[in-house]
Amino acid sequence: MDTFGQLLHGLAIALTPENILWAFLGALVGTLIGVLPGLGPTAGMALLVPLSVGLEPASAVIMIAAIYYGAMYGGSTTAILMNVPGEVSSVVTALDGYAMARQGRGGAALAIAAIGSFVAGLLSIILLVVLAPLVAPLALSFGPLELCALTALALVAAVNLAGRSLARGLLSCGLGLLIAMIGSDPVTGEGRFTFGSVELLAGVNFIPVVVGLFAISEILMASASGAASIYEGRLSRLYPSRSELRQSAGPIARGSLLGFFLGLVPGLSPAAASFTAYDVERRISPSPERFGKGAIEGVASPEAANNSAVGGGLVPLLTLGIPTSPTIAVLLGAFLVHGITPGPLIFSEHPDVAWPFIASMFVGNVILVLLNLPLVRIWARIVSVPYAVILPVILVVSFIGVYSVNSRPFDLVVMLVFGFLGYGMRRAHIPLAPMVLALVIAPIIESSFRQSLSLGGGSVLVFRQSPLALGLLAVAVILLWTGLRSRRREATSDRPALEEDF
Amino acid sequence: MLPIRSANLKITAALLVTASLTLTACGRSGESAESAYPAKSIEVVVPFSAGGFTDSGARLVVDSLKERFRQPVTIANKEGAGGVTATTEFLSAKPDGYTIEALISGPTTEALAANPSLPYKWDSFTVLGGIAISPRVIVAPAEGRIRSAEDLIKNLKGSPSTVTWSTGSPQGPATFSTLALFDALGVDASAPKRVTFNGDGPAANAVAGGHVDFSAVNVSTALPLIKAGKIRPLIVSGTEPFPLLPETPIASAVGLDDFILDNWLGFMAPPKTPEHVVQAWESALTEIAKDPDLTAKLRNIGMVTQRISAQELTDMVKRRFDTSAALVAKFGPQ
Repeated sequence: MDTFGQLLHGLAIALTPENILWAFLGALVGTLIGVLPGLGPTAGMALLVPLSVGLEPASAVIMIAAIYYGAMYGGSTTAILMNVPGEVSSVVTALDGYAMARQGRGGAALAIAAIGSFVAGLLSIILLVVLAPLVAPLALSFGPLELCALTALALVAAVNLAGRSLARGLLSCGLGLLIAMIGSDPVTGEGRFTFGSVELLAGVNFIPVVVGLFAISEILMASASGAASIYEGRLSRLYPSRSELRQSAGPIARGSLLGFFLGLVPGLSPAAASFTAYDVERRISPSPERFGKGAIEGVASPEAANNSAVGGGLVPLLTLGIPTSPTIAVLLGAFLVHGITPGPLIFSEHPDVAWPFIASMFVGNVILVLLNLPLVRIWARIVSVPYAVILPVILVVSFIGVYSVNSRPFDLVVMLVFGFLGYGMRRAHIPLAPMVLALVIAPIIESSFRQSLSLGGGSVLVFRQSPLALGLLAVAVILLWTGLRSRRREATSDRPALEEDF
Repeated sequence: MLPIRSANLKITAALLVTASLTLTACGRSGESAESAYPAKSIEVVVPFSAGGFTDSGARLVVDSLKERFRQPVTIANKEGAGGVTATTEFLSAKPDGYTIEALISGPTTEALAANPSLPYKWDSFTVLGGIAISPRVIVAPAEGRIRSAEDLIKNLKGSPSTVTWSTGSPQGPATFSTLALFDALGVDASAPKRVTFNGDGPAANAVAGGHVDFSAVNVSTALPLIKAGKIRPLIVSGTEPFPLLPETPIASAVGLDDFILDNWLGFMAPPKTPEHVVQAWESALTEIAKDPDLTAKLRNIGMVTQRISAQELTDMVKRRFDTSAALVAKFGPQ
């Protein structure tokens, strides 16, 4: 049977009432995991793997995978409405999404996030089916040298995320890099900036930092603002306008493609895909100054990218048996407990699991968009709920979410410290986004750089061995230069400083 | 403006109190009688992230323990610093049998040998027994210059500085098993180039991509890549052929006699845990070790069921700690 025939056969199995139920359950659980900050898809999936052992193998992996992409859908909801990113990769969505919510356009942002996720989800599965054998070797070609060059490229985005003042942006970025250094050294295991504390030896956990920076600082800002709710006007329209939809089409398509290819790269976090997609849109936009102040492209593109990265990440798993991220590793585990080894043989040895699994993602994405679009009407009204009600809710959700990650009270302290730090930074007009980008990128760039040096016996000339790495570094330098130049032009054109940093 | 602010403040304060009460409620409460252990739910701390090798195994075992204990048994993942953070916290957990930690080689063995100043010792905890083992396997890229154990040994002895290797944990079993290999071969450990990754998975991926020459990884991590034909198993640790890799020579077959670096999956309790808890666990583990269903599931993820008594496991921990300490003495803290 040809690929298409196999896929149709798989779809027939995925569409049995039982498997639809499992996909629905997975999608629902995933959405909830995504909505709540803290517990992420990795932990959520790991929790359900032992429970899935009793199911048919196909049903089990259908459900576990649905949790993953469901979480990618759900993560944007609280990011947009309350500035509380439910997942790491939703941090970027919060930048423009929350700005839209404050303008009463939260419904449009939510709908675009759902539509973008849906389109990206479908597109990435199609790419997975069509391109998998072709692009799989790309995943293997990314070793330490190439990963280091790619992350250097991603870090250049910090220049664009800096907002009005480059100095403030770099301060934020530098602070992020510094904070990422806390904990055990990735090569020697020695403690850095731990001051003898065993808790700090594990490093500062990402989730408490992000929830603190965004959610807690938002509570403090809102309490100090004297406003009565997130949006005080009348909500006129809950769904995106025709022109907003038109504006989003390009970003969704570009974000999907970018997310898919970045998803292939082992060791690169999906959050890096979101940041890169956002940066690309800002660069090619005719009006980059709208970004951070409610540009719908800034929601559409990263949301598409993080969903598409799921499909991309499945390529190395299904063709090479390589898990590119901890989350994909959990999925690998779900296959393994059923005695199925993902890899090039899976399609010939277990066609009755592999094809329904892929086909089920079409089903799951349809379920998710049907689940999410009607909910937009309800969610979007949250912005009108009085602060006196919503702020305590955000606070409680933040506490529970952060505690759920590691059940460690210390994380709550970290969250509060970063809440006040975030508040101070926002009062001083220091943007938060470069800091978060630095926190995402720093561990990857540091370990891959030091791995590269190990390979080169301590010499940076080792990069000469990889044309791919050299190419990526060259692009990074060009982007840094053009970024700085356009910034200088903006400064000399002496535009009125309307910008307000996010 | 002021009334709104103070109202907000009050509500915030009230919610802080609520939140902290909720958190307290989530924690442990009350004591239980000795006879009826376990009388409430047991929390098993896994000192690594969800989805890893230890975590997957522990989750399957815990699932069987639930039925045996007739009480909920939950997993709490507390990752960080190769398990050291969670293990240090665990030192001060209540020794009532309701907080247990998964015991695997690492936090109380290799990592402890590398950091002797940690607040615990290898024998600080109450060992409850083990249920499974999983060897390490030395792997090389499928298409590379190293195609057999002999190739590897020849290269390491002949031109060690041209050989690169990856490890998934700077102060953990992956590094120490490779050091043990160097030690056995009489190779200067600083000559081959070490590339450190975060976890066995990325370390194995680096081998699959041909970015390094070899790595000592968990069997469960290696199996899918071996099956996909991306990496080649060279040597498997242990004293008898490993059923999941029957073709791969064991260490003693290639002249490495003292290369027993199996990973084990066991459980331990905080210091001074009463004897009846140990007995309850020993009998529960003995019982579930007989379950063919659990054995099959563990086997699928590369673990072989093997009932290890508390005493045996304690000896294994001691032996591993001593070997690691000797390697630290020889090659310096890693």
